[in-house]
Amino acid sequence: MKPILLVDDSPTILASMSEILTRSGFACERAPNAEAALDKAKAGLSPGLVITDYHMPGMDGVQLIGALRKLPALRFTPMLVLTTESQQEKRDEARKAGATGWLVKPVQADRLLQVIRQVAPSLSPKAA
Amino acid sequence: MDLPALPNAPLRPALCGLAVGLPLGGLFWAVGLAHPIGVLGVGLAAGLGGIAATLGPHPLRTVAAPAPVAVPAGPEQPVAAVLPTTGPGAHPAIEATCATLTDLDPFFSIADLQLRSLVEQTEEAASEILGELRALDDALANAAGFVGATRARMADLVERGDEAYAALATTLHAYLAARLEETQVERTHLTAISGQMKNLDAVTGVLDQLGQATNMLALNASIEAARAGEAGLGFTVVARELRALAQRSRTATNEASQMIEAIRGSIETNLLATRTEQRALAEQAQIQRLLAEVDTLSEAFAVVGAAQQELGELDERNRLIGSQILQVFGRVQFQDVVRQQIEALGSALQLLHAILEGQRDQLLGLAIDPALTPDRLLARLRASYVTAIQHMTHAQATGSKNDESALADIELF
Repeated sequence: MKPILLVDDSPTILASMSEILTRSGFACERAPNAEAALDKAKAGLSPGLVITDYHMPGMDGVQLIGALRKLPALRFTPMLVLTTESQQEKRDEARKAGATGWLVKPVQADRLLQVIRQVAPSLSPKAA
Repeated sequence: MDLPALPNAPLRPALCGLAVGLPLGGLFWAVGLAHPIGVLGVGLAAGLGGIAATLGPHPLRTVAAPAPVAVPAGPEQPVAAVLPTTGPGAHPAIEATCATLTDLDPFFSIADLQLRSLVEQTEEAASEILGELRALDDALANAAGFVGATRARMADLVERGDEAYAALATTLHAYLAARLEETQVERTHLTAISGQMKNLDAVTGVLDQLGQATNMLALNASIEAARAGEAGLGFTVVARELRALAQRSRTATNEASQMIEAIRGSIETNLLATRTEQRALAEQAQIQRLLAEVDTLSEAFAVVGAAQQELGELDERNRLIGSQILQVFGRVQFQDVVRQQIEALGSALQLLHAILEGQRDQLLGLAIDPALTPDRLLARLRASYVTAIQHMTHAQATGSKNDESALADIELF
């Protein structure tokens, strides 16, 4: 099963999201910033789904999605932005960059899992 | 929108502290984290206000008042250009204001450190919550293990039940087969006895016919003897004997028939009675064994039923606990939301500090950054917002319109 790549500069978010996903049967790969996530992807990591924060030191989440979309292996990989950001124009940027969806923190665990099953059904271990 | 006019200078730090601290404390209180974070937020509010209110004579005042700067007089020159800010000729109000503004430096340092500390505390609290959730997860794993053991026990009981069922079926089949064979043998014997009895009936019939023929012969002999007169006297004796023989033969035949009938009745009565009693005893014993097996089976399935119910309850509990743990894992995201809002407040404080320093520099006749105005401060503060609550609170505080439309929390493109 392909892992879900979690990208967030918040250790709390990385830990809580990892717990939710792993307890639900998903495999997780974590990156504390966009640059690290990009390095992992360039090194051969092929996630089944990317969930990234928007505001991070250095490259932000939308820039990361744009960079990941340029990699052939991740061209069609679903990518979600999980952020506190609420502005419409930021959502539009994400959409143009190739994001699959936009989730505002805090997102309920069951809703998060529902979205994952929707955008990446092949990753859902309990549906398989 | 311009900031509302503040009271005299010595009160400004206190208001700044309260303006920052109270919303911060309220923020944590409103977030509702079941943790000392909320208390810390309220404590910080009081702390910032107190710190600011006591900054006037505070011992942290270490920055000396700058020397007056000579600036050519003119209509666009600052007040400090015409009124010395320090020294014997200094305007008391300007001197006091500059001193107060300088006194604000430690306040901002303290506030900045407090905010950073607050972020660290929220992260520590979130880490503790995650640790406790993992402990709950362990408890859930233990419960799941117990469920697994119970399930194994139930499977064992089911297996025992199957074995008992199989034994019962085998016993029943054997019993029925034995009964069938026994019935067939019994029927064969009865058929044979019945045939023998019929043969005896035929024999007695022949004897009866012989007796009747003998009687008829004796009767004819008597008639012929009477017709023969004295010559037939001897024959009359023979005829009389024949009649007596026929009579005895009939009597014997009747007695034989009665005896056969009696024997038949006796055989049937005794045989059937014996068989019925044996069969009843055998069946009783067999039924007792069957009942014992059924009782065992019933007990086993009663235990299985209880175990199944227990298992179902445990499964339900585990499911609920698992769901709650997942939800609480999600709730911990509040820390990141709060962190970003605290950081926004920290940025606002830094901007405010820069503006106040600019005001002080302006009073001292130094060049100031024209970008550091309250309007621009508010604009930059607003631009730093990320959450809808920040925008809404800003609009509420300034009485402005909230341009943020209600967007869905989840949107798939």
